[in-house]
Amino acid sequence: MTRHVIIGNGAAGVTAAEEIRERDPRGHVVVISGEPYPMYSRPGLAYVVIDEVSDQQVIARKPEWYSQERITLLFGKAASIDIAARYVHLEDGRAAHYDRLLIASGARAVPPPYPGADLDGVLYLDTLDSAKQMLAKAKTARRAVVIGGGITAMEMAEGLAHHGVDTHYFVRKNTLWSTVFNETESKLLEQRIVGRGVTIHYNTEITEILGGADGRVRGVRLNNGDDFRCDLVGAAIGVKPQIEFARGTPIQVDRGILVNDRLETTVPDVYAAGDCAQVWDRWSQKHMLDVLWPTAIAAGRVAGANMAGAHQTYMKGVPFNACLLFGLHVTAIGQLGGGRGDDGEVLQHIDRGSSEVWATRPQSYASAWSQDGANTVRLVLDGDRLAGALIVGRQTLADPLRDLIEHQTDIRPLLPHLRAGGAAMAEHIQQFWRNTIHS
Amino acid sequence: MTREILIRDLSKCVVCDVCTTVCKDRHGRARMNLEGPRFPRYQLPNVCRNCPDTPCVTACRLDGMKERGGRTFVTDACKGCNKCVEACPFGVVTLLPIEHKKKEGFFARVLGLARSAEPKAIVGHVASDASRCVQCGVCGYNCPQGIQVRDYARRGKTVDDPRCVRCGLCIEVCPRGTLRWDIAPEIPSPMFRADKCNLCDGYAESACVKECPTQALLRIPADERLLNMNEALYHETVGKYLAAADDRRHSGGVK
Repeated sequence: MTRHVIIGNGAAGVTAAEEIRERDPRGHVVVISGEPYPMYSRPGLAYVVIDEVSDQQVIARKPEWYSQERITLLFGKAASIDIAARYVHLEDGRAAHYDRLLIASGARAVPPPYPGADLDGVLYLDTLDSAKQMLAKAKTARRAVVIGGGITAMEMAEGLAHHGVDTHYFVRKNTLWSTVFNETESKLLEQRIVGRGVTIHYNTEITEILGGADGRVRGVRLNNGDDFRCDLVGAAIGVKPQIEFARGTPIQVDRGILVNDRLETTVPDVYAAGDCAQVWDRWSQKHMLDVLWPTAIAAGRVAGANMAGAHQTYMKGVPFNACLLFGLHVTAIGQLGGGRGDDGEVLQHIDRGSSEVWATRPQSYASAWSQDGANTVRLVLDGDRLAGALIVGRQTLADPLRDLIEHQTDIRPLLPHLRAGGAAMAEHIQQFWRNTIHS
Repeated sequence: MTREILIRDLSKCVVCDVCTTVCKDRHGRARMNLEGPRFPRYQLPNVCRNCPDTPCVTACRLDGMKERGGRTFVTDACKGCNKCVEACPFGVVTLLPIEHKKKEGFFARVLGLARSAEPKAIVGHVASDASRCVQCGVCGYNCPQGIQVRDYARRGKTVDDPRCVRCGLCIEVCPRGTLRWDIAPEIPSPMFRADKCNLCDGYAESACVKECPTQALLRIPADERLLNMNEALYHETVGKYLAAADDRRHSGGVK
């Protein structure tokens, strides 16, 4: 009987376990979970902190599911891998022997790179425990500062404001989510954020988190030298693959674990999937990180199948995320391009819920734009194909555009309408999509 | 219009039950009963108290419960999701199966107050798009029937659980647009609808107040303080209105 060991109990790990169980009913499947919970929905944490869902409900698989599927759930953190003897050693001294190993250990929030990051009151929205901690702290805090340019930072700000904390959102640039949003899109979101009582400070950076004698946050120092009083600092400046245990082994590692299109690492019988895997991207012709739920699910499925003996190829799909920020629906698909060149530093750490692909754009590209009040559609065109789309507000075009981008549909008949832009563009796109799916 | 509540003057009431009978005649169900907290001379029947903070309206995510002129009432947007029933602190909102809803009375129709005929029932199910689902569980958390919708969404399946009441709340609350009706663009007929006293909204008078043979039932302005069950406060507030009502009765001008 084959012993399958999976490091990581998230979207990729659990999907792989499920896939292995389906293909190999008799094999052993062991899932190592670094957190003391069954699998929960990490994107769901954003809804836990705004009370849309309870911290119990966000747990997606109950313990019974593991016993039903005969999957052994082991609570403990992986410390090292013994490639020669095929053992995963845990921090508590236990070890698990494997025939096939999947590394799906995910990514963790990066602490702020300035003094004071270890103070009591520096919050993350990264794990279920961190979400619970945020809720507990929000009860007594009066004022919070949130830093970070991506979705997670805005979700933290929304959560803190929801619990009555005077929330100040510090943005380094003069627009929100500058790697993806343009100015108009940023303004639309700004209206929502301000409407919920959050104060936005543009062009503001922190140089230090100030603490009191009790070790708690009492403020932050800004880049202009001013001090700003606050009890909490929400930090969402990016995540980084959690792969320390794989360093120093023959497994080749860059920012994440490098895998080929079958999700195999450079060591036989060792696979990687999810946030920790750096996967070959056919769009940009590079190994790229995706910190997205759907890609983790898709990769977990392929890795699981291959571990159980299949020969599947993982085609990295078009990065896609649909999110709800301060009540505003935003869907990002494919290449949207702020460009990495102008701000490599921002992309040093990728944000949770985002893809490196978003910040890229095709070599030569054109864009199309349509706005109808608070609803906008922005398209990035690569010749006669669509490369990316950002839909804010009304979401009727989200599915059609995703289809057209994923299938690389030839959109030549649509081009004149895209150039014209405006409100009619939406109708034309929908019409074109309906015709293509029926033909 | 000020907020009003119904009270019963125990010194007048002969417990003939005419009030609940006429209520049932008018609305198809007695929306009130004569239980409820009692004080020496008066009592609060179990009926909507038009709370100033309107928890039923706050709980509704579908515009199915509205507040207007100090009254809360169920609108046509109600899909029977049960949230108002859970939210009501006095337990006076109920779900009624749509089929059992009584037709509007003769006068209501003559006066043009009748609601349009119920649309023909369309059976639909909640369908899902697995690639959008992140398993956050907001759907199941809101489901009045406790269906774990995400277990369907994970596989891109249609929710075929027989417990589904087709309220559509999961579709409404899903933050990622994972869920939709499988019969687009139509919306299926909901199976339930909330029902509560709205002080006979749309009628000239409240049936129970009008028909009470001993004028024991009264609609009085709802003092904020009435929500706290404090006897001293009741004497101070309700007593005043009872005395005024007595005066009107004696002078023959009973409302």
